[in-house]
Amino acid sequence: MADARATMARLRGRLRIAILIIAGVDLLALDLPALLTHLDVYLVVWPVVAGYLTLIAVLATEGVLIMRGWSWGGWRWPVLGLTLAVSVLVNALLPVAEVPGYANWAIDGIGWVAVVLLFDQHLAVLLAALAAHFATNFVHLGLGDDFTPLALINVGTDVVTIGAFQVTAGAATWMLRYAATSAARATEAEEAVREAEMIAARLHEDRRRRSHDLDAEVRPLLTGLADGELDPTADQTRRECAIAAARMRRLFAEGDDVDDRLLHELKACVDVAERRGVLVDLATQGSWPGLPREVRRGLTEAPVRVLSTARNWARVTVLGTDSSVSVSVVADGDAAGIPAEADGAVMITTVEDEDRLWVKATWQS
Amino acid sequence: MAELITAVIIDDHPAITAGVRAWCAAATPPVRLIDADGKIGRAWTEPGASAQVVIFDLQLGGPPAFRELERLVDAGRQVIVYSQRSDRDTVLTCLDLGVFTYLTKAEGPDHLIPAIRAGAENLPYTSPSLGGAISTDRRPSRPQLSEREMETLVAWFESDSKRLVAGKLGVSIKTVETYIDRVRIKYANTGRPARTKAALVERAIQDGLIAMEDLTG
Repeated sequence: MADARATMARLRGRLRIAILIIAGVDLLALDLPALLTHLDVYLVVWPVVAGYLTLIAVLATEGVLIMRGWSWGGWRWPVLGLTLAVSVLVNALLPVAEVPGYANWAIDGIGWVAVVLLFDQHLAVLLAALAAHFATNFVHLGLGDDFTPLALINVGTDVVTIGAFQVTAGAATWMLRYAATSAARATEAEEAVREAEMIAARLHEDRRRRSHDLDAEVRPLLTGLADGELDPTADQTRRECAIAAARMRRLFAEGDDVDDRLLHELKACVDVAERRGVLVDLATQGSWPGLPREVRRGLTEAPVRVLSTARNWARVTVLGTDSSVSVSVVADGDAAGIPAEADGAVMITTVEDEDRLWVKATWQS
Repeated sequence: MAELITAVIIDDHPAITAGVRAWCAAATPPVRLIDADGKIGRAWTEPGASAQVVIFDLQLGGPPAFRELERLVDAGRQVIVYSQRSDRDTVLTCLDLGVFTYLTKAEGPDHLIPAIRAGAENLPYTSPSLGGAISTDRRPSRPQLSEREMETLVAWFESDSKRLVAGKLGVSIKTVETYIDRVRIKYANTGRPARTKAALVERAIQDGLIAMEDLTG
């Protein structure tokens, strides 16, 4: 997306330079000689020269703006007004007989300055500005005494040839801008599709993994219950079911989008124990970073087993220090099946006394 | 017969007050509880004014009432903060102000009744939640704790059982209690001075719990 925008900005910059070069060459190579060789023709010379210099100043400003990467902004309209005023002024100081001639250098110069000023506007704005400019020539011609069809045809020919160039230039920039915008939009759309595909693939992979985990965990239990191999009234079966239920809840919680995943997953397991009627006291202290899934699993696995076998009460604590995170469960449960070491570089310690079991999982950063 | 300990409870939840009243009545010997009905003013007027211990809910329908807490402490009252909050900063701020101890509402009669008794006698009492907050204290102004004291504190927070802590660290329950109490005294000896803190330290030195060198060193 950012790339497409940068490409567009670059393209606009180059187009502006191209238009400026055309306008500059026109004013310096064609209009300046025409002006200098007809100084004696104008009714008053200095305003005409001033008009010419005004147009040169506009082009110079455009050069500076291009270098800075700035646009004309709101200034474009007063400057366009000034340019059209120069058109009126030159016409006013030109004898009618000279309107179709070389002395009327402004007939093409004004148009190019308008193309420069209206670079990033709609084509219709440029057409209107050109029409206003050419109209001054026709009005001047119409007001004069020497109005002849030949003069009209001459000016008309000028207008058509000059205007055709300028309109073509304006239309070209307009179409290029349009193409660039569509290209940028297409790129954005393409990227959005790619991103959506990536998310979908990751989601799919995640679901596949979880379904695989569940299969290994729950299938033997369900099959055993279904074919009567496992006795639903047996303590052992109940314990295994409770553990599987807590793990399933943790598995579901793993996919949730939350700030503190460790605590969220632990709460899911606490929830299962509470539903069994176990009174759970959960206390946390300190802070911990976002941990990878393996570490979180390692930290919760042993505590989940104790929580699942707790009969009446359990105390769950999470403690985050500068260098470690630990999850600890004290409960009136039993120590059967508590691993000595969990995955993800987590250390497990177990302490038992008469009526309670304390299991602590610690991860050192 | 020795006189009963009196405590005044300032809590705006009637259920909490009723629960604490039941615990106090069931204790042996019972504790006489005065209900301030959630009004701090009643801790300053009789019969609340002469209660030995103030049980203080930090949030009486607003932000933590640290200023009121400070005024009570400055008047030499033994204040047990009994709050819903368990975040370290709140707990340590209260400790700094000079409260006697801090209990969370999850900590029931097993901690509140002994804390009231300890408060009446100027003996330190550290609840597991207070231990947890101290064990994660990272402020530069914190007192220096030994590794053993830190381990004990963490285990106390996690297990809520001195017997389990003793079993885990391979020491006697008495030793566990000593470590926990010494940490509490070290905290009483730092930060903002308060009469209640001084009394705690003085009593600990008299009882030989901690030596002068441990506090100044």
